[in-house]
Amino acid sequence: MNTHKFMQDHAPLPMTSPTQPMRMIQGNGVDVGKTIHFTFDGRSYTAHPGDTLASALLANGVRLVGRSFKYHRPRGILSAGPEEPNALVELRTGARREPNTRATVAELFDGLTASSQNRWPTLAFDALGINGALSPVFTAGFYYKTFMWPASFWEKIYEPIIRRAAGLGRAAEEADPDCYEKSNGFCDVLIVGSGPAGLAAALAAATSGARVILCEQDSLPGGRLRAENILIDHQPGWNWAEATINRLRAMPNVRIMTRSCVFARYDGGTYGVFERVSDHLATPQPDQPRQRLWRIVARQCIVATGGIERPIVFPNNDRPGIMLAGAVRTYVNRFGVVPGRRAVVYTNNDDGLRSATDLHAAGVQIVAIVDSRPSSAHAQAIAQRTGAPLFPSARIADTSGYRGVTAALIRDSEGKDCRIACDLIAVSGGWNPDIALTTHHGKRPSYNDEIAAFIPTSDEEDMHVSGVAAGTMTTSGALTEGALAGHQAAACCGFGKASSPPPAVPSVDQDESYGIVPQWHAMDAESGRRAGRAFIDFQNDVTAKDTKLAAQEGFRSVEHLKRYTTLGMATDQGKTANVNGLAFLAEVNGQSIPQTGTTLTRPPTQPVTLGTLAGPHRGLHFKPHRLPPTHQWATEQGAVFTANGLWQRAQWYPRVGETTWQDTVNREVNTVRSAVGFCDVTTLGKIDIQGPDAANFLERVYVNAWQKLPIGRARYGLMLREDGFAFDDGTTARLGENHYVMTTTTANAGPVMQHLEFCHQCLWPDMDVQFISVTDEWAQIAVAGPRSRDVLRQIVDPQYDLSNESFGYMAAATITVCGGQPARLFRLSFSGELAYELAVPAHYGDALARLLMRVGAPYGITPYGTEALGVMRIEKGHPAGPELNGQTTAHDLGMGRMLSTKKDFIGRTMATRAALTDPGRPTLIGLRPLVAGTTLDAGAHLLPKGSPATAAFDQGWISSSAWSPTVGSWIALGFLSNGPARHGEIIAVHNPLADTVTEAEIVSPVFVDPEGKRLHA
Amino acid sequence: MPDPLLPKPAVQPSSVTVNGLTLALAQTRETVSIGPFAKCLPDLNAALASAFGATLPADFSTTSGHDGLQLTRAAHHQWFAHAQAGAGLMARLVPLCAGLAALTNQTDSRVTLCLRGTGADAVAAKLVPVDLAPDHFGPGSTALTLAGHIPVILSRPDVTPGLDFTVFRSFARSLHHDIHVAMKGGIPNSERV
Repeated sequence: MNTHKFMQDHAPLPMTSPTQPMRMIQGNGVDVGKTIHFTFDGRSYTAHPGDTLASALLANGVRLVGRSFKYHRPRGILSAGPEEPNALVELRTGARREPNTRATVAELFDGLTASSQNRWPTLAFDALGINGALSPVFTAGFYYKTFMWPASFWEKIYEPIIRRAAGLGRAAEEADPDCYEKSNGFCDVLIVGSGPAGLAAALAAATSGARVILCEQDSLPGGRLRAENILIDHQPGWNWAEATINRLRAMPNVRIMTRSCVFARYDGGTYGVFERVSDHLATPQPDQPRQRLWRIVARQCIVATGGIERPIVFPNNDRPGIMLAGAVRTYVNRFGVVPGRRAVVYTNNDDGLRSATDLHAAGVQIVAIVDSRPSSAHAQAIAQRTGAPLFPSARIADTSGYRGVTAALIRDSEGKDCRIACDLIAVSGGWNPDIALTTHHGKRPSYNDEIAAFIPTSDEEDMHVSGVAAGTMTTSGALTEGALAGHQAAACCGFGKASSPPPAVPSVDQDESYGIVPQWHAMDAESGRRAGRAFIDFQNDVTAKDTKLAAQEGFRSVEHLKRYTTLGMATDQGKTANVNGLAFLAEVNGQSIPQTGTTLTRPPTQPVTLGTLAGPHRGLHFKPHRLPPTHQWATEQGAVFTANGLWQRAQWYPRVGETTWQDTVNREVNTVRSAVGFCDVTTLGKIDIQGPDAANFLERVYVNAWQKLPIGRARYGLMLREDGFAFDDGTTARLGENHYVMTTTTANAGPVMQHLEFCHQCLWPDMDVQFISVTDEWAQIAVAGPRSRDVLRQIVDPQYDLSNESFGYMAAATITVCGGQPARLFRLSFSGELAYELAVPAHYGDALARLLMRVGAPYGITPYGTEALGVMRIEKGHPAGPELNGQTTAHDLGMGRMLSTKKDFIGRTMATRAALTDPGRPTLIGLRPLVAGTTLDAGAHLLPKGSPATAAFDQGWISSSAWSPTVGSWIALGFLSNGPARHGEIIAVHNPLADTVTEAEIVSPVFVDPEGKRLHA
Repeated sequence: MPDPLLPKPAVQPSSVTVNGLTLALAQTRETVSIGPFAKCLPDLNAALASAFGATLPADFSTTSGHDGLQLTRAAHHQWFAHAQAGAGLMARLVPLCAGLAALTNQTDSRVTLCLRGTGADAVAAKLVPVDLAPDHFGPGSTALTLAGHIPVILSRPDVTPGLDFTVFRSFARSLHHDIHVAMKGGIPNSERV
């Protein structure tokens, strides 16, 4: 927005808008030439481009905007920035409804619908306002102490009631229709904040040639320069800020990011940035992201985040119309809005006095200046200029009003009370440097007595802090520090020399004074009786009384105070409350503030939406999908897919007339057992292994022997982890003298590759061997069934003999198909049938599936999915994922005798531990129910027949189960203590989820063709 | 004898264009991975230099040689050799590299998606945590990285605005979707006040 053409500092508006009665002057950040409309709680209002919801509500005279969290007390707008604890509202409606939005940072757009929250039935008449009357009992720890008995009431009664009574806004009940994205940025110097320090830093760093990113959370640059009446180079500060931004924008090495909050500092110079891309629009453009998450990597960072003003704690300090003094100036100077017509200014520092000046200039009557410090010439001059009575060494002892402040009870230096009618109290308890980013790495700030605030301890190698964030409270100081920081940061990146003088900074016509004398609270013996309504943390309704009570009950650490009272929690994270809270605790404990310490902040410094963190990874695209080469063909076949890791695999292929998936799977199994079927097994991991030491390497990673495997043969192998438990299995074929191709399970393809690389790079770097994944290179299709050889003969080029004699079980060869197409053929069987795995380059996988369907039709071929594959491997007793679950050993799997005693291999030593070879360990068995149709459930526990279903009698579990159309019964694989010695025994199968106990016979895990005649056919 | 098998690309070969940016499937190239055996790298480079006028780049980049050969650093102690389809790359490399390196055909395992047009870097930055500034990632640069959740070999082929994403074939459709979404999201406009 070009604000130059319509802004003129403090020029009165030609005529106060009848619909915006509190818009008194022209602000430097709004375009009063245009009017936009919005609603709040169903009532229509007008505003101008550049307004926030808070400024627009104030312009329209709306002071009551919310109810407090616990006591449902009426609350108004406290601040003008992201620190706002009170003015949390719901924006938009329907699927875009967004709760807990700070009205102070919500940019207004035409048509915005906003509503208050945490009230019923209306904001003005909230039934739960009665909680305020009960505040004497709703103190800190109330829930913990009260809702203890009976324990059973907590979940069903207490918690639902409490959750209904307390809380914030309502999330949308429909799926979020907007999109979100993530992006990455890199720079030499990241500057956080575009106030005087940030702009001076950016200019210095950019002029040196460094790549600069300047992040500003606001929609407009300038920081406090937009809120204050200050002249830089003889022009309004905001004007200088805009000119500087324009100058920076013209530099190719500078990127300016507005509406972008740097919310986190992570390791390695990485920063999290939350960009509100289109929050200021009614709805984003199609495909335009609503918000964007940035990961910015910066070599240097300059924190120029300014400060956050804190209130003073006094009784009934939370009424609508009681605001931070600096926020009042923001509304006056930036938005042209006066938050009241009769103002009391209450301060403990000179900065707060500026509010009196600015309000007066905007036509507001200053009815009192309450300065907690002794009288000073400066305060007297301002009081005289504004015509306000000055109360030095005074305090506000109480306020009146309900839905808005109507009077302040001022207690002067002599203890005399004076009640003054007002509708605005501008309070300044001083400024806290905004140092959140400097503490994310655990660095504790130190307390500075001079400004009565915590400041960063010192600069770090890659982080500089400038301006108010560093405790420098003047504009000229901020400019000087910022320029120096920018100059030094650029030098650290190799741009210019740190020893050379930093660039000159613009002049400031008159420096500000600060002169703070801490007054954390205004409680005395008399007002102490109302400590239960003297709020420290507005958002959590934590009072002075709560803090005192916590200390009395032993919660004397600031960390304990936070957890016990909830001080500093929720959306604002105590930005206006924390320091007052710990100062109060220090006083109660009789300690100094440094002795008391402070909590540290963690990311995020401001709320970040879950949508932004998720980015585009949602719904079907939460994770990427891996698709095998036959996916399109399988889709055309109407396959039902299942996720196998990231892979999408065909689970079964339903046909017309099949009413259940079980019908389909039975048909697929029966077809394979009686004729022929094929299944895409591309997803199995395939690793090409080459090198002079390839065989030796296999010897070390597998438990069994490999040196004598002939070329053209494959062998089953089992790998263990170092701890001796089974890791993965598969076949490895020898294709050449020093060339092998290993297969892994689908799930472990990545981990096995990592394992091999780890072994090679870290354990045996001298072994001369190379690996590369060929999983995606080959489309591999299992062709299984008694007619599989007949089908393959239609495809494999005739010079290759597929007879049992020439190409027997576990043979492997490089062949050609379809008239010269290179391929690989393996005689492997997972189903137990005569079977092959045919691999062609992945580009041809789709065509191979279509071809198999065509040439296999005369043999009754069917595609089969992972479900039939699983049924057939259970029928054959082949372990898979449920058996190789990371907790089983070779012995458990019935493969103990595979462990070579003639060589070393990964896991060998640990596998010989007595506990891992104990015959009493649960070992692989087969199970059949006594009644064929009785379901056996995977996960069920195995118990001796007649034993009670308790853990004491638990002897094992079912790992895999299926209805076997071949056996005509349910069958299962499982692990049972001393299992192989118990074949024929009847045991109890207990399913604790269904609370059933059935009986089953322990049998061999090989249900079909135990002699292996079929696979050798 | 059945008809020859016909190849099918991992994603639709037609390109998509959004706001002047184009995403297209690169033509399939012959790709062979080269994994030098122990202490064979000098001899291997000498052989490649004599045959193709190029050696394996030591840093993550791509170099070009005779006959359209390109050599890309692809992993720890691993390179990819690329040549146009029909070049017979494996047949040429086998005698050259015998005893010096493991050669593995990777022609079908990887797919390259080409993002072209002004703003390609800004769109790519939504996916890859790589500093794409010209002085950091200039023409010929290569990086092994993640595009969102998907492992890719990212490369900048030349000086024209654009980047190549080489990805495992099975991930190609997901990556294509992710890049397309990033394209539709537009070029971040946050410089504008």
